[in-house]
Amino acid sequence: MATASSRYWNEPTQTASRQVVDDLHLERIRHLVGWAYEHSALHRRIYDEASVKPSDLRTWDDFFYKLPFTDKPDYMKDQAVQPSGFGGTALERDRWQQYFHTTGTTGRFLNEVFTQYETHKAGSQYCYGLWDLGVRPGDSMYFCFDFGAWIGLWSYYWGARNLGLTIESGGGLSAAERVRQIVELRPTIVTGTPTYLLHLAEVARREGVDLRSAGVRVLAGGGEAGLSVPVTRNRLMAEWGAEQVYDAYGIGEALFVGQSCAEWGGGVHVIEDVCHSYAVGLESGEPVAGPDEVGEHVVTSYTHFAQPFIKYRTHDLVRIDAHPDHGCGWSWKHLPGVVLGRSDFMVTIRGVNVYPTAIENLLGDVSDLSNHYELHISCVDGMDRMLVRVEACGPHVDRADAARRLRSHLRANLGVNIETDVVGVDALVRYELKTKRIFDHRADAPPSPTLGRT
Amino acid sequence: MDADASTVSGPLGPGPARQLERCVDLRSRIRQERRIAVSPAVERALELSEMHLFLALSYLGYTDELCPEEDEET
Repeated sequence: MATASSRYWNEPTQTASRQVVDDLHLERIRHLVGWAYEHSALHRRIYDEASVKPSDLRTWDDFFYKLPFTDKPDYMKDQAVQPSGFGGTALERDRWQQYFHTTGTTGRFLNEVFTQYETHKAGSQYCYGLWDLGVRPGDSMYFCFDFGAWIGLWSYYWGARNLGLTIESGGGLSAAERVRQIVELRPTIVTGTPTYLLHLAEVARREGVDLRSAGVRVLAGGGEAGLSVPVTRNRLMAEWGAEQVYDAYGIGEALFVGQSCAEWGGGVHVIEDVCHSYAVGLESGEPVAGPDEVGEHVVTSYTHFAQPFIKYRTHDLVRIDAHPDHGCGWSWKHLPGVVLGRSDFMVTIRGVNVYPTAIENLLGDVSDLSNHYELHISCVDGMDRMLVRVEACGPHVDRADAARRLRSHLRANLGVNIETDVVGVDALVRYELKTKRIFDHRADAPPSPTLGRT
Repeated sequence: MDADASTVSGPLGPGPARQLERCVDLRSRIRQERRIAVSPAVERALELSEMHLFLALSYLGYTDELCPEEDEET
């Protein structure tokens, strides 16, 4: 490979000046808005309602102050009325290659669709950071999980193929079998959520397996905050004997648009070849004043044309440094601390975003339950768990049966196992002021699951 | 509609601009071959190669089209 010695995956854009990168963004966004207006009924309606035509979009001020935002509920409402079951689509079904879904605040999945090109483009996101860490074709990546309809793992896989890595699958195995396989295969990279990677270390210890003998050089993942937390990074490297930790910041609808560089710098870079990213004030909706100000992350994806996401509100709270200088040479924006909180209310269980509002909505679907509930988050063997404790709606309810039905309903709609406990009437505390519903029992629990409005 | 190499612009400097121009020309030739493919197998293989080539275009700052499907839709 003639370019193997290059420090950068794509130096022309990765180190370009802010002006050049921004000029490219504006060109792409203008083009994308035109594409969406012409091909997506949802986008045409949103722009028509705002009296904005693609030709009105000429400057950054037009983009920031005239073009309306889009948000998950826009897509959820559209998919509910579309015969296809997909919202905001802009290409015919014969071009769709793969379907996914992501969690939503209503307890219903947001359905996502990708063309074949989009899978390649989305996979390219990972190459910038992995290349920077010295990962090269011929290195190998071990995947800990079974592949379902969660896009994060699939896109990691696309990225590994894009980079020319050897794929090693741990699908269908128990944790104990996985740690033995990892020691046997000696992959360069193991990918998983930080919670699961720590869990594997605990399982290895219990099984008498020396995980450090596997020679794993890089631990990679995302889906949770841990890979951006220094104490967790250090613990992971110590447990595995790894040299590097690779963090990827993902948004369900725009994929892992943030990747850490070799210098890390306490956060991730925005991969500006695949998206435009900026932060807005929660109330004003206008760009925040500077790199020290926290705002809501808004992205425009260049990996989604069959289902465009333009000026899309992520509800992640971030700080954006548009001129990072921590020695890596990338000119792309940097998110110190990655996600600093949420502008809505969300917790992450085993890499899956779970919205309490979604659980509340789903409780209403199950008979025999009241609307008095609590969510208890705990950590067992390094794995985050959630228990939903809810009161029965009357004294004659078969509580064990109701708990089983609730568990099954949550699993089917959220895609993650949540424990359930149905208790008798009036068993839960009633609060005079704001009801406390979330109880985080984890030792390192953050002071609050959100830093934004609730 | 084939991309016209003479209209290619390159904001990333002369090296990337020249490579972009060559890649746009290559894409045009792949598309010509697709149209006269002797079998579905050959046509699909050429379609896939165009898809990968489009990645290179996007790395090089290409903004005339957003995705390989675009000019089929317009």
